[in-house]
Amino acid sequence: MMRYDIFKALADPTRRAIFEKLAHGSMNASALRCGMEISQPAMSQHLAVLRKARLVRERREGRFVNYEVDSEGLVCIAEWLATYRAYWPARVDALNALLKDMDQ
Amino acid sequence: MSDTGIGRAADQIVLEYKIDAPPEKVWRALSIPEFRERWLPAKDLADPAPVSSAPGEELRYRMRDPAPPFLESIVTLHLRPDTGGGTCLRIVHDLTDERLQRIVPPAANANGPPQMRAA
Repeated sequence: MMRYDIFKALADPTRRAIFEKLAHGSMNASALRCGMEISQPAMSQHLAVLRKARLVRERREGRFVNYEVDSEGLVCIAEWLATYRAYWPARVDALNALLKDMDQ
Repeated sequence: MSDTGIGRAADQIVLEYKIDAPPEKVWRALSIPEFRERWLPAKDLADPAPVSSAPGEELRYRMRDPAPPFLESIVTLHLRPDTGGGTCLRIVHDLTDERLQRIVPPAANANGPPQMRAA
C-alpha cells in the first residue's frame, strides 16, 4: 500500500521535480512554482499527493507554509530498502569468497 | 546465486541464494564470530551476538544502519540443503525500528474516512 503510494506519487514527472526541489531545502508553494509552468491550484494538488505518500510535510511559520521532505516518513523506508537491496548481494559475494578460503 | 524477490513486503527484503558449499560449512561461516566478521562485520550489527540461533538451520542478528537515521532491523539467515550438496541461503531482513511503528502498519481503519480522490 505505501510502496504503491510512493511510486504513484513519484511516477508523475511534475511531482518528481517538486520532490527533487524540496530535497535541496524547504520552500513555500510560490517559490516551488518558480521556473515551472504550473498553476497554484495544480501545485496544491501535487503537494497534497506528496504529503499523503508521506514524502513531503508542511511546516507552518505564522502566515506562511513551508514544504520540506518528510525525513521521518516513508522516504526513509524507501532509502532503507535501497541501501540493503544493494548491501546483501555484496555481503553474499564476500561470504562466497570466505567459503573458498575456509578449510572443509 | 539469484535474487528471487519472493514475498517482498513494504518493509522487508527477502533474498535467496544458491551457495556452492555444504550447509555445515556455511553454518560455520555464519555463526563463528571470526568468520562472520569477514563477510558480515560487527560494525553493521546492532549486537554481534545473535538474537536467536537454531544450529545448522537459522540465525538472527539485530542490525543498525550505520547512516542516519540509524534504523534498526533484524536479519534472519536460513539455511537448507540444496541439490548437489550445496546450500540454499535465504535472507529475510525486516525493518523493525520502533520509531517507524506508527507509520508502517497501513491500518485500513486509521485516520478517519478514506480519501478517494484522483491524483
